[in-house]
Amino acid sequence: MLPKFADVVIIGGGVIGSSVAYHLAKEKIGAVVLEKEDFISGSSGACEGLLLLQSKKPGIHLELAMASTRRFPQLSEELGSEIEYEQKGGLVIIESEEELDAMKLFVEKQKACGVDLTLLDRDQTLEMEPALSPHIIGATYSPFEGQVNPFLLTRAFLGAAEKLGAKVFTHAEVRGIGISKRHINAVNTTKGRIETPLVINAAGASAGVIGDLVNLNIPVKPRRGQILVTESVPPLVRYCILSAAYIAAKFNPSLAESGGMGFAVEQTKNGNVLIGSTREFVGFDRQTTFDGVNTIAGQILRVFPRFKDLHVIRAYAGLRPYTPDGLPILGPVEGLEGFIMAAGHEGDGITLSPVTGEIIAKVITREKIPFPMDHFKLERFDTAS
Amino acid sequence: MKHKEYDVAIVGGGFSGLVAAGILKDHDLDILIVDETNRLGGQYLKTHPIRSNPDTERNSLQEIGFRQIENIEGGRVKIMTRTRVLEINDRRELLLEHDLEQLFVLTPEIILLAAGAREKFVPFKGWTLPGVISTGAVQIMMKGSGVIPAEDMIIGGSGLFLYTVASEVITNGGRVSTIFDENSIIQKLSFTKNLIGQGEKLKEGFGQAARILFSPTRMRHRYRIVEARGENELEEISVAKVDRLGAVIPGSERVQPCECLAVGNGFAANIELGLLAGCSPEYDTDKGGWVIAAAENLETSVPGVFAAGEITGVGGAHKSITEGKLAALSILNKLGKIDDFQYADETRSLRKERKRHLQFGSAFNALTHLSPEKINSISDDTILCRCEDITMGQIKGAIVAGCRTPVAVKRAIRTGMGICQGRICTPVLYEIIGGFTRTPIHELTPLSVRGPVKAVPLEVLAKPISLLKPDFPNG
Amino acid sequence: MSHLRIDAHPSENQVDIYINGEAYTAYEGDTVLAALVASGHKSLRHSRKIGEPRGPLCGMGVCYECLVTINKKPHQRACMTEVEDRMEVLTGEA
Repeated sequence: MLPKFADVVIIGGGVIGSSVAYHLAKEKIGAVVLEKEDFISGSSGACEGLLLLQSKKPGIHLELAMASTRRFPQLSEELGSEIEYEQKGGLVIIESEEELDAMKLFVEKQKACGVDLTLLDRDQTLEMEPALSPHIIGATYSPFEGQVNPFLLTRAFLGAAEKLGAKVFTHAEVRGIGISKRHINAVNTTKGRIETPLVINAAGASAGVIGDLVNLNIPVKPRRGQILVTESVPPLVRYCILSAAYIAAKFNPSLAESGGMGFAVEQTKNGNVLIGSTREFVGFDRQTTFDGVNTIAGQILRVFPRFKDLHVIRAYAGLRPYTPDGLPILGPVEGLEGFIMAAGHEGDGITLSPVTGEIIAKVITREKIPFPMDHFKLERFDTAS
Repeated sequence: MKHKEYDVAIVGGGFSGLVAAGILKDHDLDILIVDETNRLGGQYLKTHPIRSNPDTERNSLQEIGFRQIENIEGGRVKIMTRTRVLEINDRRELLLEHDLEQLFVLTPEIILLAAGAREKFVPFKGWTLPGVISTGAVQIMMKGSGVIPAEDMIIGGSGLFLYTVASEVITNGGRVSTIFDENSIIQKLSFTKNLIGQGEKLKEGFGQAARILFSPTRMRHRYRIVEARGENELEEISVAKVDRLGAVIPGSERVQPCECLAVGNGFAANIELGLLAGCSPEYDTDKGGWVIAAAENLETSVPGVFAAGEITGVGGAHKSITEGKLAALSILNKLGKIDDFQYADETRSLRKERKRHLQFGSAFNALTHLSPEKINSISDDTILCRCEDITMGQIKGAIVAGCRTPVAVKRAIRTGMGICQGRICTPVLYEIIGGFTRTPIHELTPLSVRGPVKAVPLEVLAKPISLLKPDFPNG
Repeated sequence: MSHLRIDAHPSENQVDIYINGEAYTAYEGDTVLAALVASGHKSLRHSRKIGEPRGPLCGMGVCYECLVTINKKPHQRACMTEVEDRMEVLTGEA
């Protein structure tokens, strides 16, 4: 049974909502988390677990990621459960001279932000990751990148939050949000009504749908990514792998069309190799497509020819919460007291989950936030609906 | 311009698929039939491709089957063996993989799912030891390759298939020292009333019984295999008496040497392709567990997708033949090839037959029903998910920790996430979760299926996809 | 170990294969699994997590317990592959 009252209601039980619930619970604020489906059935359960810095834009985006990444080595102990964190180091694979030129610039900018980054030539790269094809030109290497199990991470946040007093309800879909005199006062769900002065929109790719309930235009769009999973095999990939083309595809869609979509690869602790992924605007369609699967398979064989005999055992698709400028939307919303945004992380939700939880908790406890929040406020977009 | 597509794609070349193709082929339709194995015929018609077995006469069912194969080989039916459906989506698009060499896509007007069933197992400690094999594997190896897995074997589990396989082993000159049947002799005998009026099945049953009775094989009822032991392969087994509900009677365990143990506990429908196509499943113990729900005309919840044979309910070859015929006529009716009067007329007796076969199936499946007591007697150190080496204890732990649904258990401890994609452990997993959470199993949402439906090498998945068009000019 | 061959099956068209380097005579149409079983191979591989020995279970392409290396290709289902002349089969994958 849903409680009648709550200090805070968090909409969305994915990695962001769970982290917010945990960080609030640490401040002795017991939130109610509403998940519209089952546990972890949205994008946090349909993604890779890469914790990357090199995929972040130099500047505030990268600063946020660096702050967040620093939390991971202690997070398993802090939350009291295994999250399969491994600091493997990350390689961004460069396949052409054009990519090399672009990456040289990128490396300088990233270094200026304090990321430990090295440009490797072909031989150095092949020595570090022998499964790669010799046609590659080189790679950039960052030792602080790693990976985590997104399922376990989300469960760990939720579990720790529950132990500290948060309440989690699944199959509770939010249908309406009560407002009185521009103040939030309640949330209506398929499981009943809760009165609350504070609502946190952590609905991921559906954040815009929640915005519609309060007449706010939140420009978060679902951007589908399809991922292949192989059978579990002995260690084959040593590092977290990203292609330079993937970075290009993330920040420059037109470049993506000419250079392909790029790829991201990780081998999980269990031994499965995850290979992703596409970037498609297709609404809320979470199906994989024959072409998508076929394209990913072809792309990866070019770079990892040794993968050819690996059996693909499933493919899935997740919806990234895309925003026009690639930055999440965090914090209060002007003119709607009690409505707080924590969404729009695109493909960075797992990496940014600890810091997002921290920030939102500070928003609510009115503590000082060590980031310029203007970058993240909703009002940077045109919100007239 | 839209190209010509196949009118009907039949997935599975067992009895129902074959019979359906045989009827559909004479109606100016482009038909495709695909099967994963090397040749049509399904499990029932499995024979050695080069050497036929002169000792075992073909029974009348096999006659029907082989005649069907000859029949469709001459018609407007494209036969693709060594071909697997990797994916189906809810728009009736199929992705096929042929011979690990080629990928094809097609969007037939009608899909007939006839993917059959697989064997079901109730795990026990040590069942992963080499030397413990399925009853189905024993049969396939004998029929297909003329090989018996051991000179001397023990057969254990539940259901009538134990006796079918025992009888075939004996016929082929092998030895079955004991059959340990979890059911009582009364349960088994009460089953035979379902055979009255079903001449062929009765004859088959008596033949099997006679062969076993006149062999040195001992039959032990209400016994369960509780443990298989051995250093690196099977050396001995422990069997125990079970009570009326299926619980092990403490202290009744006995150990005996064993070099080969064949086990089986009935069958589970291969519903995965149907789920991927968006078809609603239903849970019915009479039908052997989760099956694809089909209307009277065998159309599933997805218009244009039909299902026939074991996939709509485990019930044996006769049911598959009847459903193959019924599905074909329903498809012809839907495509406007026969009118409603003709359809009603031609399917009247088939519907009756089908009811009878479903009744038989219900009695057949009752013999392999998993009671909560049986589930309870699986020890915590028994491996449930063989791919990921996950034990019963881990599953119970996940349930205690709050995982109340199959998907929650799966995500927490990775059951069913290995290379067999949960085909072996999920049928029993539903029963375990239902039992321990006291939830009726039909209320548990079955695990969603993700393509590729079967594991496929990355190299194959990367091949260019070509359009599969009918070979025959449309008349 | 020809005693596991059913007498009633006349044996024609011999196919020479190599199992872990040792020559073995199978028959055309045999599955690789049948050839392995007839030649006395029970344990075919080890499970990934705990490394215990495993042999075939379902025999019909479902369980993936009979994975072996065939002609240098790893992870092939022995039960779904027919023998071919000079085929090389290796057991013992992890």
